[in-house]
Amino acid sequence: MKPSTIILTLLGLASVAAAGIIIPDWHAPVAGVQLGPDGSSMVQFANTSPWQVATVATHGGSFDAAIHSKDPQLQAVTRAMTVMTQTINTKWRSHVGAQGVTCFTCHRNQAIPPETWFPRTPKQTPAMFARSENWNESAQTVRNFFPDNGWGLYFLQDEPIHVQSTTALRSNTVAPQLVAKRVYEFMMQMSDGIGVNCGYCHNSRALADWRQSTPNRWIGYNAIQMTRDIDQHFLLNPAALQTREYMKQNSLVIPLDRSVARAAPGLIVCASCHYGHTKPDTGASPAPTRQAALR
Amino acid sequence: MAKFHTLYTAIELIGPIDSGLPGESRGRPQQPLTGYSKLLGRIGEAQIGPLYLGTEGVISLVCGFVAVEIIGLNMWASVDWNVVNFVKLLPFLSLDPPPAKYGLHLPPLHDGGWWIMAGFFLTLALIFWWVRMYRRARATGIGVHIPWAFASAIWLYLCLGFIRPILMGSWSEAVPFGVISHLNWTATFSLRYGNLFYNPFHMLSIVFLYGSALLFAMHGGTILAVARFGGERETREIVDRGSAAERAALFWRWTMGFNATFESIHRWCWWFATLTPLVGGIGILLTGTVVDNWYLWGVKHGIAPDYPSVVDDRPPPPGLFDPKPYLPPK
Repeated sequence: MKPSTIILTLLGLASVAAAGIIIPDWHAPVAGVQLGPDGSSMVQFANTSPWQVATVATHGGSFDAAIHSKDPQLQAVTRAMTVMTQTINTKWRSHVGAQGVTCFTCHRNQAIPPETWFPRTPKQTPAMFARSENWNESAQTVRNFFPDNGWGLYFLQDEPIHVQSTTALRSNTVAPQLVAKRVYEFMMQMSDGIGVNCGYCHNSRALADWRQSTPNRWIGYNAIQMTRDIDQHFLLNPAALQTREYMKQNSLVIPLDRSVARAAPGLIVCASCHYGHTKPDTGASPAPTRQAALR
Repeated sequence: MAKFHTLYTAIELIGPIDSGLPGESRGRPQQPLTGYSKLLGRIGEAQIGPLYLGTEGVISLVCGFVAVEIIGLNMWASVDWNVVNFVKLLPFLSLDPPPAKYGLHLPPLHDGGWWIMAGFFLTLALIFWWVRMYRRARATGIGVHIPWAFASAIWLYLCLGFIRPILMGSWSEAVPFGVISHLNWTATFSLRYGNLFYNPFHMLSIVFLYGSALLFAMHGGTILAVARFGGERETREIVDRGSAAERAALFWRWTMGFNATFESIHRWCWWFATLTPLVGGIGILLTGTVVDNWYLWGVKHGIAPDYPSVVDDRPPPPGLFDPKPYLPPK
């Protein structure tokens, strides 16, 4: 074997390995009925009430039938989801602008939106040993592998996001290492979810300084407030919890990909709408429905 | 005894083992394992050993082993003793220092106590290894330049994991043990203190680090280039300047107008390498103890310009940028 052959082989192997590790595989179907990574279990899931309603809604079908259904849980979910979409399109125009969102923006023809965040339960470690970061060891991608503690801190609580001091000399306002790490995780889900680097919003030499930030940072700021509102007031509310209870009672299978321990119902993060793009559906306005995507 | 005559020789010397300086050295090799390696002979001396272990060496290895065991077992426990996951996730596994709430007090084992133990044994291992190097340098009769250069690296290690945490009043300020986690720590540390690149001692450390690499390449290149004139006997040419030294010096005067001498180049290299962690440690010790935001410090002292807003004069949204004092634990 020539040295050049060996080097080329190694480079080839390395690039294959790197591609497997680095390239994110967004579950972002844009047309047709997608089975997703979970195959037929998702179909079975989607055909079972009350998750039918979400499928009905994403198919742009008989929405009225769902809302007038006799099933109180079906009604509750439909109503909550409708009010949520309306809230985003009216109260949060500061983030979604004229484009707005539809059911399709998150759902993509699937009962459970593909990029739903299911918070992980804290990891169990033998009592005597050091607790470690809450890695998701069964994750399919690096994105899902990293801890989600920061997401909970800044989406489910109105914790101010603060790391750096505003004074040159010591003033005891620098966030502890652990807090800075959580902010980092949170910001990484943000940049990853919309497919940008830090510089899209921040000036990297002075990350905290609003005066040196790009206008995108204000849009992002509104996004954080919006996501907090939706997660805290719609997805953590009793109707959603009731829905999860219903799922449990009826032994509905939760897809393997999300089988990591679940401490809360499905929540949204940046990627839930954005799927790795700065504007969902590349900015198509108004936001496409399923019919539009099929056209 | 035969000797190498030039760097370019492919001859490997195999013969009676050269056992050093019998009777002259103030410490005899304790460990008689010796031999020859043809493979290692391609890149260095073919003779392996004798290795001097000594009391300090034994203590150092035992302490180092204990530290690695503590770190490794904690990492293994964190993946629930799963061997496959341990190997697969090794780069991400970590043993973290205690949370800020414990300050400088001793935390429970599972909440940073193991980190303190691992750090203690690792520090002992490094210090005993240093003592071993120092005493071996004395025993061979050479100078002690190498142990002092190594001491500079230990200084930076102690600044990061011992001196600065004590000045800050909390072990939580120290670096975790782990491949990715210590890199994350580094990135986060810079972010917390308003961009470490505006820290002048960090700047100096980078100058010396990159300078070391440059000097190393220049010196290595020079000596290899003049080996055909006997330049590999560089220390001899310090006192008896021959064709190799003359030509090497002329080359550098031609290309950059100045040349280091065959002697001074080694001082250049030694100081650049030694100053890298030395000034880096000073930069670490000033961070958080004196300066909280290096970018703002740079603006204050004219290192960084203070640009006007590129957006407008809108104040930052309320709530999000709302500094709450994080007081050090009592």
